[in-house]
Amino acid sequence: MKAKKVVHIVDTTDYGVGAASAMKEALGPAGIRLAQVSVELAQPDYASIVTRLKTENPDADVIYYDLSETATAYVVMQNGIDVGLSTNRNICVGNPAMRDAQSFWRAVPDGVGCLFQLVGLTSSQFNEEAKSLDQRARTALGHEARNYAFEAYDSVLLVADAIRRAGNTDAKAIVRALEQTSLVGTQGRYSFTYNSQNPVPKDKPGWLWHQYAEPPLQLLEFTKKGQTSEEAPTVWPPSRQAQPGKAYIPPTR
Amino acid sequence: MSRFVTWTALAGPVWSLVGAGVLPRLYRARRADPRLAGLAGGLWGAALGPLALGWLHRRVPPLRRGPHIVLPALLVAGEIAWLFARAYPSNPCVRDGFYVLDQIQTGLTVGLVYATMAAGLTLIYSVQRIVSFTHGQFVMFGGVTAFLLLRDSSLSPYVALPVVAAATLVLGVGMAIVLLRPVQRGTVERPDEFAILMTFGFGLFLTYALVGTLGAPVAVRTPRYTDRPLLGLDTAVVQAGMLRFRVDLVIAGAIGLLLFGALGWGLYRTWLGRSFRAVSMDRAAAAVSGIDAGRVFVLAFGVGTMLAGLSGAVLVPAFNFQVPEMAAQTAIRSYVIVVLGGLGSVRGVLLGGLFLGVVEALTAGCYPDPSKGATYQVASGLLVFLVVLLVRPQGFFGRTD
Repeated sequence: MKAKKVVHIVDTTDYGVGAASAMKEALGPAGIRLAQVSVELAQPDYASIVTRLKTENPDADVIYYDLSETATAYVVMQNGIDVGLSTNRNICVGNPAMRDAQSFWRAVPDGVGCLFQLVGLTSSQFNEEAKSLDQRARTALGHEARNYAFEAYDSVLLVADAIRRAGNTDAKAIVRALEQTSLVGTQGRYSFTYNSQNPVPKDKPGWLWHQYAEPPLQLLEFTKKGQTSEEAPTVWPPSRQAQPGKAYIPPTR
Repeated sequence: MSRFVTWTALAGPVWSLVGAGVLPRLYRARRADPRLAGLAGGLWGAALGPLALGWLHRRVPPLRRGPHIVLPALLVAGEIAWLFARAYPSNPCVRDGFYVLDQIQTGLTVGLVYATMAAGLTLIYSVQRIVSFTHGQFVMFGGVTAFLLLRDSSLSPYVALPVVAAATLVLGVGMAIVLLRPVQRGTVERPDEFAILMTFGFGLFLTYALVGTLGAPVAVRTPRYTDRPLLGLDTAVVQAGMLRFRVDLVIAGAIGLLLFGALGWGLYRTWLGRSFRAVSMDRAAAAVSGIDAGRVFVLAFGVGTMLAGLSGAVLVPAFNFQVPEMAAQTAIRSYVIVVLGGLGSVRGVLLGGLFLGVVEALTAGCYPDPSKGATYQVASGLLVFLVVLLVRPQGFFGRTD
């Protein structure tokens, strides 16, 4: 996004305190300026504080509504759009719960152009494994498989695969087997790039050790009013964009 | 900082306490009317410190509201504003007059909405002398009923209003007849406590019944007034110069004002309203005059409940209702507004709501640390509430016994 200034709205809960601190740590070294504000949850209106944010941060590139409670996040978002904090000159980023598009559009009717994070895949991105799991969930539970179900399913699959290849349940043997993993699960192909055979290089962050480096994490954008999350195009990462190179579409507000 | 220290030495809170403590004693000792002496001493002490207190001590003038309450209050407000401006020159409230105006218009609009929520509570208190602890739930009930009516239909939010009014009137009358009968008939030894327990219990029942109906704690919102417009009002935000008006909120506030107008008209121009007022002034005398106090009791609870439900239906196209949190938030603000305005005063509720809305808006908009402004927003309203109660326990328009 090449943002130079981010407005980060959090809440006063433990989640909000942690999120504010993590954002500071992440953006500070990158030289991105940050304006943060914490709000009380469950208030009926936040127009005063978002008006202030608009006045004090006219040059913000990103307005991130990072609140732990979806309902409050939606109130603040609509207030932010109403008072002109979120405009077509900056990018509005909301809560992962925006995946439930029906609730989102009811609460934020002017939320065209807002982005949300999706951990997992949309149904159009499902591979055969994911389609199979989704179908089995629908038969057994009467509804589609939730996004976290895919992650949980793959976790069990990975461990089972490692045990099978290790030939026993010794912890060290399982870890060694996991390091050699190359398995297609519901969310894509799993491998752990940095391991005891291939340590993390000095110019890469240490947390990459034993991590799945390409998790199905993406940013989607509601480009039309009333759009479902299945219809929302992927803005990031580029590898998941339907039309590579055509990422964020500014809204008309 | 040095300016604040100078102000505290020459005027400010310490001299305010001295004035509020000393002046009433002085007036009593000199056999002058001491009724306004505490407040006037406190305000003059805060405004001009020993200078004003010395003058009052020497002259002991008859105290009047204009020169001895309003004038020093304005002086204190001016001094605080000046100190704030010197201490925080980059604060948007110091730099930008339009910004302050924008915050005030936001506060007034939201305050009008708050006042609408509290109107029913004050009516119930003034007639029945009981505090309804179901008030927030009735507001929520009105909002949820409107939501359920409009969710899967193309009806206008305006159409939901009479339906919700009828439903909440029936619910309120039913509750008064079934649950509050002992209070109405005077057959319970402690009617206040009985009413608190009954309304509190019914409020809990209503909360969980609504959560059960909706399936889970959830935010509800109907289509906006501007989504299904009346008279061509279909623009959500109107920019007038530097000010931005949120049309749905303004419409909700305007309907709230209409409700206040209807309530005022009804209380003074209709037989029912006059009987409400008569019972609120003296129940025994009203009964002697031929008013059935029991029936008035039931109807007042029904009308108060209807106002609460109606305010919920008015607000749900403009605000998100977070069920069940909305009930507690509504109730807390309504109690603050009713007590600020003066228990039982309809115009007091209106003023209290506007006052609370502006105080909260200015706190969020002007608090020196922008990251904490919104955090102190709710606390500021409660702080002002405490100060007003200390200075004027009966509220803005309350009666003293």
